[in-house]
Order: sequence, then structure tokens, then C-alpha cells
Amino acid sequence: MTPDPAVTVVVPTRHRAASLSRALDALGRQDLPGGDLEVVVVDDGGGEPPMAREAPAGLRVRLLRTSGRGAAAARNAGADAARAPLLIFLDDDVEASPGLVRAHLEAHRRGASLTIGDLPARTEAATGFFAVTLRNWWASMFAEMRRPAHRFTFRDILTGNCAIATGLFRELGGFDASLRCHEDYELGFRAIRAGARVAFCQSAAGVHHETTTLERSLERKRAEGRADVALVRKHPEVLSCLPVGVVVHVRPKEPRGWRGLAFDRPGTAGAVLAGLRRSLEAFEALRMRGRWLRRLYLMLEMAYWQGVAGEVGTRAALEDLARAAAAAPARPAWWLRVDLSEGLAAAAARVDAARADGVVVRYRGNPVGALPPVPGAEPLRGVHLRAAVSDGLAWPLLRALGQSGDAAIEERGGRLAPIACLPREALDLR
Amino acid sequence: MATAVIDFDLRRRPRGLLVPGGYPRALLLLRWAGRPVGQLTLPVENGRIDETRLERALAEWADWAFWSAWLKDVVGSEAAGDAPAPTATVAVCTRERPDDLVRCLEAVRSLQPSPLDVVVVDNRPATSRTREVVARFPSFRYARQDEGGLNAARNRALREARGDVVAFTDDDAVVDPGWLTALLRNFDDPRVLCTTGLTMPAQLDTEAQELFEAYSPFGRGFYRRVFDLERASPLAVGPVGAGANMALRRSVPALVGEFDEALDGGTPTRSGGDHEMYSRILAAGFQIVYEPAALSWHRHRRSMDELRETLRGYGTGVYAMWTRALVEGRELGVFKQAWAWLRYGQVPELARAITGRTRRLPLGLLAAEWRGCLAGPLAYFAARRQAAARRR
Repeated sequence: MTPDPAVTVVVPTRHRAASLSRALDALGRQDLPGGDLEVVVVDDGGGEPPMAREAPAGLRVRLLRTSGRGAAAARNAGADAARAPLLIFLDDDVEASPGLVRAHLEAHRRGASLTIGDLPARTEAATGFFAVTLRNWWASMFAEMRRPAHRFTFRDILTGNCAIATGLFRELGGFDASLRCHEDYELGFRAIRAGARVAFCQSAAGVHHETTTLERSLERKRAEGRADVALVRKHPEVLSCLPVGVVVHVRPKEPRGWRGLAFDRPGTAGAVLAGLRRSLEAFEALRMRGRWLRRLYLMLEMAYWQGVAGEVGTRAALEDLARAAAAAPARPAWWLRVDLSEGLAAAAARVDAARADGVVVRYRGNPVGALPPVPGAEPLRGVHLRAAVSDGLAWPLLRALGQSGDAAIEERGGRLAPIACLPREALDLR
Repeated sequence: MATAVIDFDLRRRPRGLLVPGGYPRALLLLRWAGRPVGQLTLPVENGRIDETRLERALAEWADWAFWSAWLKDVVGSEAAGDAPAPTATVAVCTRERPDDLVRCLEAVRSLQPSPLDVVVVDNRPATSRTREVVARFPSFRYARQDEGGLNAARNRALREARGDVVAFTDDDAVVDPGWLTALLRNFDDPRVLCTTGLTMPAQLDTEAQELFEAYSPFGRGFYRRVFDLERASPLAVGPVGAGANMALRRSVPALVGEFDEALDGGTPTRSGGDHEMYSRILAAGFQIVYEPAALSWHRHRRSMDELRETLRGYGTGVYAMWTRALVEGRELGVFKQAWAWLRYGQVPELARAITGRTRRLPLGLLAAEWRGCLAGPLAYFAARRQAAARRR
């Protein structure tokens, strides 16, 4: 009998034999002892079995079938069959780097319970401006998560390349299989609320062979619109973090203009999108990047609102949803107070220990500012305080330093000026 | 009228500020704990800068660049990511400037920490003097490039390099010991293909040097900036920086192509090779970072004749680059950019020079730039033919 593996990799797949065998080949090349890894392929497509040829030698692969119940159900089935204490969800279009599994494993051994791996995109089907935009979109998302001071929220949880402790996944009851999109956000929301420690893992990289076209992006946006409505119904407090939240938080008349077409004249929205599509081609031929990009964003937003409208129906129903979400009882936020005169290291350590939702920052009793609570975000950590101090809270901190007389700074007509050239004696807040 | 150039760390400031050499004024590069945060020009009286005047000027001047550097020093900086720093090659493209090159290579030898390797590309040498200079630096590599101009030499440097990143400095520049570290820090983001740095004048002893610094300085300010398609036009890359102080990923040729050998020094187009590369990097959707902490000191040309040639070369280079963008990239935005430069830059500058209202560039120098612009398009086609002939 073979010993239990250390990691189970779950790969859901649907009618993509070629990319699946590329994914399995890459899993066969992991720099990890062979017995430590098992792979569960979950075929959600039906028809022909997805493995066109043998799995790579030495790789333990099991095949399950869920026949069309969606990716969330497929991943749940894979997780149910898992024998390892760590689950890695990998999409079938991801080609794992040799260190992917080991990097996730090590991050979990260091205390993380939910890790997101890097997914540099290779845009294959798209060309021209769209390919550039698509690649940048992926790159920006991961560049943001790579910042040490990034505060993770449920919207960072992507199942293309992520690892979660099997115990935590089962405690949470897995993915909500009724969602056909954003089921990863939904799981992320519950995981973070349950205290999961989220981390980004750059060395757990997998190349994402992105085959999206503009048509598929629009279809995806419609699915996101539908999913976001379902998400708000389930967890009302996330409303303000989703694009649909603009209904209550920015202007009451949103969505307006073209974006509102899906509500006001649903029959014409499709024709308008087709017209815009043609204008995109013209702008690209003329190399008018700014107009092209604004047009693309408009189209994606229109598709999103089509999805929202398809799910809720009318504007009145959308407003009811927003009102109900705003009235829903929210979990009270935990606040921590720190005073930076105790030193930044000490204050940061207190933030790390408290795991608070919000932090009020003072200096010798003078107000500096706050790190506010964010729905669906991880508790604040010391690095968040450190980053805020040299960024958003910097100006009020300088003023508070001057007011307390600890640094030779004075305010002159709205500007801060160093007195006597500069605070000569060293002030050390480390 | 000459200006003393003084490197001045505010944290280690001595009480009085002596300026030897009989200069009537001084340009201070202000740093806080090593980081460049601003510059000030102050009068020098009896060989020193008056303390009260200096303090008043500093109080007026202190802006966000200063305060953020000060605060980072007081509270400690943001924790770094877990990605390992890339390795680096320093590349110097040179042609018959042995005295400058010695100073340049001595500065490269003092870099902290030192680069993986150093390559000196000798571009179409007439004598063996460059080789002899490089021989005095045993760990530096000498590469002789007999074909093409500056861009051919840059391509050669990219091929010779062993580091993940290739940092270019001009042979007439002297880099700060922290230059390379500051450039490399920005490559932790895979979207960044290129980083440029702050270039300050090493001396302002002659009128030509003062005019150059006033009219077309290399420095791009004291704030870090990120350039990409959302924030900049790929045809207006002047604010990005210059080839005298830049670093590229070695993978750049594979991602967006090599430097265009029809452009820049040693060809009829005379300049523009660096800016054309920035343009292509931006158009392909990647990012360029301007990092003011990557400091280098450039010795501007001393004589008016040299300055006139430099400005003419810039005019030619800009128009050659736009010609290339139009014919190769079908970028119609070139006309808009050319119009904007004419309308908001060149024509007002010309009016000022004619009416003599402010002390700006003399008419003769402006005329040289205009002549350069007019020659640009044809120069590009001529250089392209020459480059094609070389390849055959």
C-alpha cells in the first residue's frame, strides 16, 4: 500500500484534452518526491474520456466524472476524494512551474492556510490591443497581490492556482455549487471570515495559457453580473465591494446611459454592443489607444449590467436588492487603537497580535488617521500599518509630529516646513 | 557665469557651506540619507552660502519628495517582497573618449554591491586607446563592435550580457555607488521592462553646459513615476528618461525586438534610439519606471559648437523616430505629437529667443534644432538603407 500523499492536486477539465495533457506533463515534472503528490482529474464535460494519452510515468492520477454540474461541483468532488492534508486547485490551462507544488506546501508549513500562486498569462488566441490589455489585466492583479502590504480580500481568491488546507476546505463545506461563476470569491469570503491566513506565493507560478477572445470576455462579464447578484443575496455586506454596489454607493441613478441600456431597452443592448465592436476595430486600425480602451471598458460594463439585469429583472428589483443589502445586519467591526509614539515596530506588533478589522492611529494623543474596516478583507497586519505610515497617513503623521513638538516641523499656510533647516537631532520611530 | 555643482546630504549637513573656486552661484543636489530629494540654486558670497538664506530656501522648498524620504528614514521603510533580486550586467558603449571612460569605469568599480559583470563595447574604434583603458580593469570585459552606431553597440551589449538586467551608462557619466541597486529594485514587477534614472550635471563651468542644463536637462525630477499605456502616449516618451542612465531586462529583444540600428549616434539619424525603444516597450503594453534614486552625473559638452551639434542631433532623432513610428507602426498620432511640440514648445521658444524677453536659448542654437527636425525623416530612410546594406 502506498503512503498517503502530502498534496492532492485537483484539476477540473472540460473538453480540453490537449491542454489537460500539458497540465499533467507539468505536474509530472514537479521537484517533489513522487509519492508526495496525487492528482485528481475531474471531468465535467462528459463524452470522450479527457485523457487522450497516458499520464506521465510516476504520477498518481485518478479520474472522476461530474458530467456538466459546473466547475464548483467538479472541484468539490475532487476535494472529497482527496487523501492529502493540502489541496491545490489548478485549472487545466495552467502549466505548473517545477516548483509550484513545493512552494505552496512550504507556504502552508510556514503558517498560511490559503495561498494564491502567481499566474503569468500567455495570451494565445487574442492579438493586437486586446492581447496587450488582457495580459496587463492579469499582470496588474498579481502585481497588486505581490506587494507585501497588500490587504487580501475575498476578491483575491482565484481558483486557477490556489492551495487550501483540506481540513479548512471541508469545515467550510466546499464551494457553493449553485454558483456558476465567482464561486471562488464566495469561498474566499467564508474562508477569510473563518480566520484563514491568506498569502500570495510568487514562486508557486504556473503559466496560464489564456485563450480568451473578446466574445468570451463579454460572456464572462455577463456571468459575473449574474453571480454578483447571487453573491449579494447570500452575503449582503459585500455589496459595496462589487461593481453592482455602485447602485447605492456612488450615484443612486446608476447604471446610467449606455450601461443602463440592459434595464431600459434590453432589446437594443445587443445591437449596440455589435456596433461598438465594429468601432473597436476601426480605432485599433487608426492606433487610437485611448478611445479603444474606453470603448472596451464600456462594452465590458454593458455586458456586466446585462448579466445583472438578467438576474434581477427590473431597476426597481435592483434597488430593492440594494436596500435589503444595506439594511441587513452586519458583523460589528473590531477596532484597535495604537499610538505611534510607542515606536512603529511595537505598534505593528500590536496590530499583528490583535487581528482587528480597523485601526485608529494616534501620535502622543493627536489624531493621525485610521485604517478602516473593509467587508470581506483579512484582519489588519503590521505591514499594513507600516505601508500606511509612509503613504496615506504620512501627511497627518508629519503634522502630529510637529504639533507634539517631537520634530522641528511647523505648518505655514497649508505647507509643512522644516524649522531651522531640518529636525537636526535624530528622531527614531522604528 | 559658471555654477558650482554640490552634492549635499541634508542629514549630514555641515554648519557652513563653503564653495571654493570663485563661483558666483551653486546648484545643490539635495539628498536625505543618500536619496536625492530635490535641487536648489543659491548665490555664493565670498566663497560661501549664507546660512540663513540656505535655511529659508530649504523651508520654502521642502516638498513631498523630501518629506517622504525623511519619514521613511524616521520610521523605517516598507518591507521588501520575497522575490530574489535580479542579477545585473553594467554596459558602457564608448567611442574614443579614454579620459571620460576612466572616470566612468572607476565609478562602476565602486558600485555597491558590484554587478555580475561589466561589458565595455568599443564602437568602431579608430585607435586602441579604449582597449588599453579597459585592460586596467581586469574583471571588465572588452567587446569590439566594428559595425553600426550606438544602437548596434547597445544590441551587442545585450548579447554579451550575462545578467538578467543590463544597466547602461554613458562613457561621459559617473554613477553614484547606489545607482545599480536603485535601478534593480524596480524589476520585481514582471511588467517592468526598463528603468531610467536621475541624471544630474557633473559640472556647469561653461555657457554651453549651463544652456544645455537649462534647455534640455537629463533629470526628470525627484518623484518616482511609472509609465504605461494608461498614463503615457508611446509617442511622447521624452519624460521617460534617456539612454545615458537606463536599465533593460535582457529579455527585451525577445519581447519587443532589438534596438533599431538605423537610429542614434553613428548613423544619419544621430539620436532617438533610446526613445524609440521606450516607445516600443510602451506600445507592447509593458511598463517603464523612472527612479530618481538611481543617480548619475553627466558631463555635458563644454563648447557651443558641440552643443549646437547635440541639439541638431536631438531634432533629427525625434523626427527620425516619429518617421519610423509612422511607416513601421502606422501610428497616426505622430502628427498630433509633432503639432503639440511645435505649438507649445518650439514656436513659443522661438518667439522668446527673437524678442529676447527671457534668458533662454540663443537663436542660433534653436535654428540648429529646427534644421535637425527638418532633416529627420530623410535621415531615417538613409540610415535604414545603410543598416539594411550592413546586414546583407
